[in-house]
Amino acid sequence: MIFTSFEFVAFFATVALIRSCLRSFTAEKWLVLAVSIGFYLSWSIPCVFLILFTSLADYSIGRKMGQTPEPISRRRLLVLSLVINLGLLGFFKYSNFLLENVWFVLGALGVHFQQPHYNVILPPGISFYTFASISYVIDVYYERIPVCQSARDYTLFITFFPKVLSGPIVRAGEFLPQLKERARVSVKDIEIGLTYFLMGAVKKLVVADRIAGHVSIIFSAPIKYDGLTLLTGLLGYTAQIYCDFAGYSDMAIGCARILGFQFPENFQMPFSAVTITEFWRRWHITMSRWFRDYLFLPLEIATRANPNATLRVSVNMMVTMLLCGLWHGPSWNFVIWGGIHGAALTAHKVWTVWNPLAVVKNRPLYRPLWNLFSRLLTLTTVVLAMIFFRAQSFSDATSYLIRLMSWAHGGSRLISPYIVAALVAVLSVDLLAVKNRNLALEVPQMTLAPRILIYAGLLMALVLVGASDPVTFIYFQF
Amino acid sequence: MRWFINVSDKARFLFVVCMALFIAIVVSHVVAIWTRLPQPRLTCRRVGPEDGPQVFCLGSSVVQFGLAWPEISEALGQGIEACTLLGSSPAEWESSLSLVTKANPMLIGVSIIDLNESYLCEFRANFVPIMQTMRDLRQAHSDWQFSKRVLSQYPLTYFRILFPTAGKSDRVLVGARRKLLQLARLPPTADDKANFLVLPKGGVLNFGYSTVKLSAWPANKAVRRLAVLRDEIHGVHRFDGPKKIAFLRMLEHAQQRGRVIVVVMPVAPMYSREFLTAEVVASFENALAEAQRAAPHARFVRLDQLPALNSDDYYSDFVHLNGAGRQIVTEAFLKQLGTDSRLP
Repeated sequence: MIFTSFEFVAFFATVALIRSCLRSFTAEKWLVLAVSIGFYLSWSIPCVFLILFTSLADYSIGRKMGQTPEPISRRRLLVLSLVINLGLLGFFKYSNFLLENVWFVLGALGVHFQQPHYNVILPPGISFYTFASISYVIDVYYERIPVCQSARDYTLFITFFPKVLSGPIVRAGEFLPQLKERARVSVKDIEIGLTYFLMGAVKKLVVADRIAGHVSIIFSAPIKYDGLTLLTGLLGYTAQIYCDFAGYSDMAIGCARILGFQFPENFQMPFSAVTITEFWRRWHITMSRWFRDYLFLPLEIATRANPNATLRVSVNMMVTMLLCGLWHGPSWNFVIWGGIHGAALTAHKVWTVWNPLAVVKNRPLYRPLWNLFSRLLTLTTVVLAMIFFRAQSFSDATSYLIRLMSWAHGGSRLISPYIVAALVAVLSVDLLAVKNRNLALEVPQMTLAPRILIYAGLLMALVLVGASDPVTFIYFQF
Repeated sequence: MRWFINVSDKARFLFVVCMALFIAIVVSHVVAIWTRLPQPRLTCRRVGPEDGPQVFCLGSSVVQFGLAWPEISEALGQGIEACTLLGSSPAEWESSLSLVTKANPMLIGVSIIDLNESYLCEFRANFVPIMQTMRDLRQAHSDWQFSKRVLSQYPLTYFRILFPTAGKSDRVLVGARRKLLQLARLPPTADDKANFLVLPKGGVLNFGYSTVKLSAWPANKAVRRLAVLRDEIHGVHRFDGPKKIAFLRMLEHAQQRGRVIVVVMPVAPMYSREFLTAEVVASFENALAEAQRAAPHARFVRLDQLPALNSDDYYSDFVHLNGAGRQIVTEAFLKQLGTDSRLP
């Protein structure tokens, strides 16, 4: 049941309608929990036991932690939770990858065995709900948030259907307080929720799904195409993944809002970023702040004895981004993608400290020209790194990169007008609109005529040019 | 608009939603008319003498474009009637069996694409009752993903009452481009010409002579269209679902009404190279063998095995024959009619 399907719309409308009829907040929470489990069951029946196990295990550990004042016992509980969560994530997501690499190393050493391959199913949303659950236990350990006293509330936090499959990675500190008191869902909330949902659907169906087929053609056989085609394919994929995931996030935020819950933003015009550091403050925000708060900052604290701050930050940043890459999937391509971003972030950090252009900083024309160059550099880094994110294998990625860099003349030229239109749309919104604007919040505050026209425009985009056969969200695979 | 200030938030919101919906519905209808989106209508055409027993032809555009009907009518000395629906398959043809009253013989044209379960007719839900579809899916033991795909056509059909362009964006964009070119008085692009199967005005079963050759398509166009087709069929060829069940049922019913000829039409070598593995061909043959068993008196004419058609020069796209290809197929068909004493 994907958000852009009829069955989801019918399912969600029914849930929202029943919810609005309920007077008791407790009944509402049970309803939302039941439908969340039902929604998860529609994706995988056996994996529902795993998500319930994760929820109940971390709930129990959190409770126990709250009752235990001794730091050593608390630390043991934290380690136990990390072992359970990362162990399950590792087993279900990385076991075959790990085996492949071990066998590769053994093979290189001259030891040859029959390599085992386990048919491990990847539980839907495991990367997302595991991170949400880990964040709860760590926050309880550091006493940043109170212990959740209700197994139902905690399970609802983990399984809440708008976010369970692909985030946003909402933290316990943001979600659990919303279960304390029933939020009054106003007409404005419903309008904001619908606006988010519509805008998300447009990003997904009108941009991402429209160009998915063309991008797929180019990436399936890059050797067949010339440099220009490869460039449009790559730019198209960047636009596709952005609209796919930002569209999903918007729809999730919209659904939650209609049910009376508020989620943090997950994307904020990332292509308007002037630096790579700013890009990561705007792209998959909930994931990047998770890595910042639960990996990068602890690493910083652990290595604070190192006096060379630039080196320390650079190494920690690189480690964080490599693991961020690996989080996306069991493939070296993702690690390389993370490595490219880590290197870019490190380079930016070093540049900021070094600041060689400080002398020309106040000259006229410096700022706009520098911004333009910096934007282009950021965009180029992000786009080139996407080759490793999209390609099926390392050799595919390198062959794509080599053909693109050498501006290959041999091969067919396949310029999709859809990709060009999608690029123009995405870049014009991100580059021309004022940064940090949130149209989904702004439109419902507008006067009558522009509101009607904007909603009609979004609906028209969906029914006139929306893809006819919706494609599954890219981030579901992570 | 001053009155609006005193209206409650709820009423204001409802007004905004209704107005937005109204505008979108109107625009969707206008665009559907302007771009001439195909309607879910059976198109019936005929050729030849109207008196005496008629040949009734059921099939998709593959068979309708694939045979030279005036010549066949002349050779048989009989009139030919044919009803078809865009991109249809046996599941939809079955519903037009009720139109047949005095056909003899009945000619059913199938090809590998018509029987491929993964290739869905966009108007299926307009013709096949949902209960029938559910029964067929159950009987065929279709998996949940496929069943969901087929059944989701039904809500989309109801949705299209309000928004006729919903889910037809490709046709809308192609139609809009064609219209804009016309408005700008520019000639249609080569791509447009090749994509457009020119249908005759009125009900004459004669589709003229197409000179477009698949072999002359630019390589990138072929690659793109193959990829689009692959997307449409989800890269799968299977012949074990509701289409097969409808085909078998249709054959049994047709057999009770008179003689039946099943014409198996060819597809282009480019299509075969891309999609038809030995496994796919074997399962298609199995489906045909099962159909033959279900209708033992039906005559199967295999035009898909003509060696002369083993070139993309004879096709205007992946599945439709051009004028030259049609000539070869028609001659072969008439030859079989002439040599087989069981045929009229």
